[in-house]
Amino acid sequence: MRHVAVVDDDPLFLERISLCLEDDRELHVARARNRSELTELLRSQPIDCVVLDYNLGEETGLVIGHSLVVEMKDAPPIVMLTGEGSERTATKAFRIGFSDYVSKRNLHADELSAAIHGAIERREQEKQSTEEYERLRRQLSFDATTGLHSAAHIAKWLEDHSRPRDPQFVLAVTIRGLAGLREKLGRDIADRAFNKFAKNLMSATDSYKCVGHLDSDVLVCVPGNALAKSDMRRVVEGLARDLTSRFEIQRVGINLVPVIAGAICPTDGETLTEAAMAARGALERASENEPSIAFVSQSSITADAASPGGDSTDGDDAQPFEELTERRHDPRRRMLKHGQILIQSLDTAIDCAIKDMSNRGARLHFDSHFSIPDEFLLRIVGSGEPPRRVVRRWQIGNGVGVEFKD
Amino acid sequence: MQGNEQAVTARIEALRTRFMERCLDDAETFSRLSAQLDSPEDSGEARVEARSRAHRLAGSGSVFGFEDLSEHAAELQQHLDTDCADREAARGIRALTDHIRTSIASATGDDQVASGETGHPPGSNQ
Repeated sequence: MRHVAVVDDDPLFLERISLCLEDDRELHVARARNRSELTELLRSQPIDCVVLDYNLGEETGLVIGHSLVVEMKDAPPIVMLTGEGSERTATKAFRIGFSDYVSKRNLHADELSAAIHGAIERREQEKQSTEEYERLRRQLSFDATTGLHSAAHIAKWLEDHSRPRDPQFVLAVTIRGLAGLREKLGRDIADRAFNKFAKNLMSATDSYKCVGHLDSDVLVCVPGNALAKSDMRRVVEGLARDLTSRFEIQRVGINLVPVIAGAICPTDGETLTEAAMAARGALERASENEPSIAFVSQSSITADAASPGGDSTDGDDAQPFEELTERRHDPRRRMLKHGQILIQSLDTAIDCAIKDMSNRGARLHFDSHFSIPDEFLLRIVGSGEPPRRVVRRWQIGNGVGVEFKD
Repeated sequence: MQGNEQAVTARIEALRTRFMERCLDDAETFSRLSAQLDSPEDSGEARVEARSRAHRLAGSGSVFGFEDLSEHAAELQQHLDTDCADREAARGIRALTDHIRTSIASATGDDQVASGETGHPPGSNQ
């Protein structure tokens, strides 16, 4: 039995369509007239699919659906039901993550029922694929993104070398402000920056015993030789220098500033795994407090290195990222105009704000992030001018730079 | 099982009757709104209410077997979304009002409904 929640503010339509769906013996239908009733349903019982009306009076189904997708960890698939029949609404719905779209006009219960079953089946297939991918990923020795040893491989390696004969350094490493990069520049650009950082780490640690992922955002490395305690700071500072670099992508220059935390086994953890976890803990504290280098136990390093205030690298004062220098041939004019991009292959128009413009191009801003095609038409709403053919030159998050082709 | 099906059929029939009652209420409201749009007073609220009712009818008509009403209501909704003059909007609303009354009269066999002389279809409680 599948549990479906139908949301519509018209009580007659809600009851009628629910009765139609209940004809399908595999469906159990719960009714809701607004967001709060839907929230209560989702809280109190398992719901496999939500059928959401577009026009719900005070707010649209798009807004409610978007909230569900963003706020719920495992939101059920959503089928949009609308009397508007607008292609733009459908495009927005799919972009937000709705599973299907059914028009209320000439609605047949079988069509809605099939859309619900299809949405649930697709979601189950996605879940199975994700679980399978995760299972395979856990088995991989190398991380598919960075090429370093995977977290599973590292966990096993640390376990296999659990109690070294001599004291052993373990370093946990990440980039300062990685979460902020993701938030401001988008996951794609932040991941590319992290990959670049991982490659730098690989080159800088080729003599190390082991380098890889402690988790997706934290890397771990174990120096090759049994070092004296007094060497630890020198090693870490050298590594910090090697890893401090700049990465340019599209129109952004990203300062890759490492944060490194060191621990010693058995001083900071009886086993290598425990020492690595202790290093990660110190790394998290260091990321919050902003020193670039931290050590789990100050007693394990030389006295002059014990002050966190002394822990600085060349990159410490650098901003996480900055927009690269002006590359335009013509001066730009700041403006705020309503634009539309027209994608002929999809026969659709998408709203945007035109933030500035020069004779050669323009900078556009979209309400949500999506993949912009390489070439499209840009219309300046209300200008009376025909749409202009443009080519996408860059995209950073919701911002897009285009060059005029006509 | 047969009893259950009969119960469902009865519920559907009762819903259809309530839908037709609502349509006739809508027709009366549409008449008032079209009169408002014909007058020189501020017509903003009348347009908004007319659009809202047309939208609801466009969405729900076909599921109760009134596909034709759904189409006409959708046309009016689109018409009201344009910058058409109030008199033109009023004309569109009146046309939909006539469609509602004719359709409900045809469904109930009550000719008085078509002329707007009765507010509710036969069999209703009101």
